[in-house]
Amino acid sequence: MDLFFVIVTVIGLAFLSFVVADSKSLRNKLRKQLHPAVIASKFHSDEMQKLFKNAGWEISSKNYNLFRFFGFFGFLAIVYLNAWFRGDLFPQFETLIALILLLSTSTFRFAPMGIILHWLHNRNIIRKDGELISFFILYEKNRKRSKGYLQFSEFCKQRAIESKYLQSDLLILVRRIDEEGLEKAMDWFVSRFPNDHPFVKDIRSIILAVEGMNDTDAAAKYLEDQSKIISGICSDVYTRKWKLLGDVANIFTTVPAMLIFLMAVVIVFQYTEIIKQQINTFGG
Amino acid sequence: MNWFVERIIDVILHLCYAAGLWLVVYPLIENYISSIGRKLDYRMNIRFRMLGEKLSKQKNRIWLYRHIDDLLYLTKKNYEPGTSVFRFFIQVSVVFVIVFIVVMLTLGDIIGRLTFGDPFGEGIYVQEHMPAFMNWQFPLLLASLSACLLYLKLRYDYATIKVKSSYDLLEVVKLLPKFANYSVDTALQKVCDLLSDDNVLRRPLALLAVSFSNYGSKQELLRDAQRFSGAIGTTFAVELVSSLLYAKENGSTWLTSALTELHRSMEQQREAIFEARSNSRDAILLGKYVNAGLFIFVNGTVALSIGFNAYIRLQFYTSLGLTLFSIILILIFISFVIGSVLSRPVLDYY
Repeated sequence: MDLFFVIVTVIGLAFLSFVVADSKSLRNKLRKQLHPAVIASKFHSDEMQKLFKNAGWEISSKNYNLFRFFGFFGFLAIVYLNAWFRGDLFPQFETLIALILLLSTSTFRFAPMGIILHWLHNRNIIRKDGELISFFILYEKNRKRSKGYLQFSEFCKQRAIESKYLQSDLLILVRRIDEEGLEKAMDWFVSRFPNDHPFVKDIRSIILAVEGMNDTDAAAKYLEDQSKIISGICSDVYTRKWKLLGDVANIFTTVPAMLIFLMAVVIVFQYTEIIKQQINTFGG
Repeated sequence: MNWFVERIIDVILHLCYAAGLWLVVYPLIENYISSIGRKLDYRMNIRFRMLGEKLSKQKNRIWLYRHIDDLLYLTKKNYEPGTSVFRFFIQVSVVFVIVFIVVMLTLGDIIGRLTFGDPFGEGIYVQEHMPAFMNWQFPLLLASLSACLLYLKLRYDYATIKVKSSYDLLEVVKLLPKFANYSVDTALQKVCDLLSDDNVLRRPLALLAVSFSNYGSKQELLRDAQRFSGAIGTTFAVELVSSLLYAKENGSTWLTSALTELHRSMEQQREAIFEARSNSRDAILLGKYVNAGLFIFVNGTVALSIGFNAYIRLQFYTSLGLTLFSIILILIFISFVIGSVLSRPVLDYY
């Protein structure tokens, strides 16, 4: 109880000195810093936000961090106050549990959350590639029609309504075509993908070549020639998707196998415990 | 173990009793359900019909309706726009209420009152006293699990049917050129009648034909067509739907050639898929059976080595053995389900 009164006295003295102090600028600066919104904005982290956006989640990193830290501190505060009022020892076990929870929900690359976010990001990349390839194949079919094919920007607009992962990119592409012309717009589109993307540059060159030709027959013949490249791209995307699925399936296969062995070991262990007991009572 | 079997039989008989009551009540309220479902569908779609809003802007509070509606569109054989969702909600809530009441009155707080004695002595026994009436935790858990099971079954059906629908689209594309000289909606209706019975696209195609014949505005037709292609979700579906829409506007003189081209590329892709047997697909299929076999083999070996009687007592009469056993069974079941969903590839370019 004495400690409590000492702490209250110190806080009161600090507050008194703050109120009495003459310097207005110091007071204003302190008040500005202690404003709740300013403190909350310190919890925002740009890389965490980028990780969330890549994985396709719509949480703000500020809310996530606030939830984490306040959960951690609130839980610890309740546990410590409990122990203090009851006169127990320092609760080591609960502190350890809280620390473990805090660390495991961080988005560090090898923490559980980080691994989940990274996996979601990979899955989104593969789906985006799939939509890109489907966009390109539909464009090829569209252009091969001898009469009544859509113009490129109209085609992009229609595809944007239906795609999920490419939607924003395609709509901005349409606007850029109107403003800057086809070449600059396609350059921007390629820059939206990572630098070592296997086939987006091929797509760009084919689209630029075809859009440059006015004659439909020549365009159709050019697309026929390029069809081998296109089918090569398709099979690449296909194998990459199945490799990711294979990883998932591996996890689902190995975990039950490990549990089965664990259970066998547990049963045999219990059996030997009983046998040991019997030997001790009868043989000793 | 007598008490255990007794209680299980109690629960099963009570569930049958409650299910029988529900079956008696259901035909009486069926009309009522249909009309409420139609009103629900009207209210959900009114913003679109009146204001012609675009497809992409959806409010948060109706995402659940939209989600379940999309799942039911493909899976139910007698799907109707609003009624199916409402019927599904009623089913889930009835299952929840029935399981909750039955388990609460029969089993009660049994998990909290189990004690695990010496496995070779009296085993598991329950402290017998009058069940407290307000014990709700375990029944609540069991009831929400059963409600979730219904939803999970719907998801599983959706995943398998979606894969099958991409192959059934091939049959539709094969039949369509025969009627290419009719108008689009008549052609679609005739194709619908000719489809085989296990084709999962019968109902969606019938709905598409109806919307082609009487649509209120061009946006409504676009929306229904996009719903069809979005449900199947492959590039070929989008291609087919855009050809149909184009034919509707500008006449169907070239529809035959477009459809034969589409058919040719679909067959080509199907053969490519058959040839490219990727390794991981075989591994997924194998993993399903390896786990079950391993389970039986390991347990059999342990049982043989320490004696069958001792094994049964240690496995099922101790808390650790029982929990591990049930966890492993559940995990094997889940891996079976997920393996069977993942192993068949969709007929598409990617």
